[in-house]
Amino acid sequence: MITALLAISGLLLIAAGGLKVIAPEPATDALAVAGFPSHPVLVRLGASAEMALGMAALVWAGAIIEGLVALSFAAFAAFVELLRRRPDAPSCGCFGGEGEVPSLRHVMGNLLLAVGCAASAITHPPSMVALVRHEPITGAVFVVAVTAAAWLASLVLRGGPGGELS
Amino acid sequence: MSAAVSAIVLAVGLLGIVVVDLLRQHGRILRTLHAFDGGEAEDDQASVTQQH
Repeated sequence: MITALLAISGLLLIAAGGLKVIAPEPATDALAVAGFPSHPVLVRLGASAEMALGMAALVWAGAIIEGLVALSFAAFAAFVELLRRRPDAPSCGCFGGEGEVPSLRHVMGNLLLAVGCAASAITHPPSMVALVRHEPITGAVFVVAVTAAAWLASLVLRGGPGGELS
Repeated sequence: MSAAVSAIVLAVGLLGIVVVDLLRQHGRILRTLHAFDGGEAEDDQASVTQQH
């Protein structure tokens, strides 16, 4: 379960980072509303780091990388919770889109992933790439299931397929 | 194998949440449409009454 949570976290970081690199404006607005320094270039830099961390989590699982992923999701949870308390925050911009309502579900989802990655830093499960290398058939099933799960998790974190449920 | 099974279980659980969300959205859209139809029916009734 922890291997799957780590892989889902890595894929989510890559997807969310990539989408923010393409469309940094909603996250820039959300940072401004929360009172943080906000500029599209800053968002793009952070999003690039997010993508790099996600890739590292998929390739070289290790206590430091898993700890960093856990810290990232804990920080995202805190940020979304901060936005939830601001009535003028229309979108968290986590996935580069407008209308991504900062919801309790989003906070809890991020916390769950943070806990999963923290547990992974302690138990040292194999990375997704290592799993594919050592057990190709199981690894292939794992990659398909985890990719589907990451896509579904992104829908759930955004508040449903329409992105408007809270 | 257990990692693949866990991933499948997680995917199925998340799919369940997404399906429930879709059903909730569908219900919300239907309620909005019903409310709109009801409002229109009331408007029609009012205009018929006014004509009489």
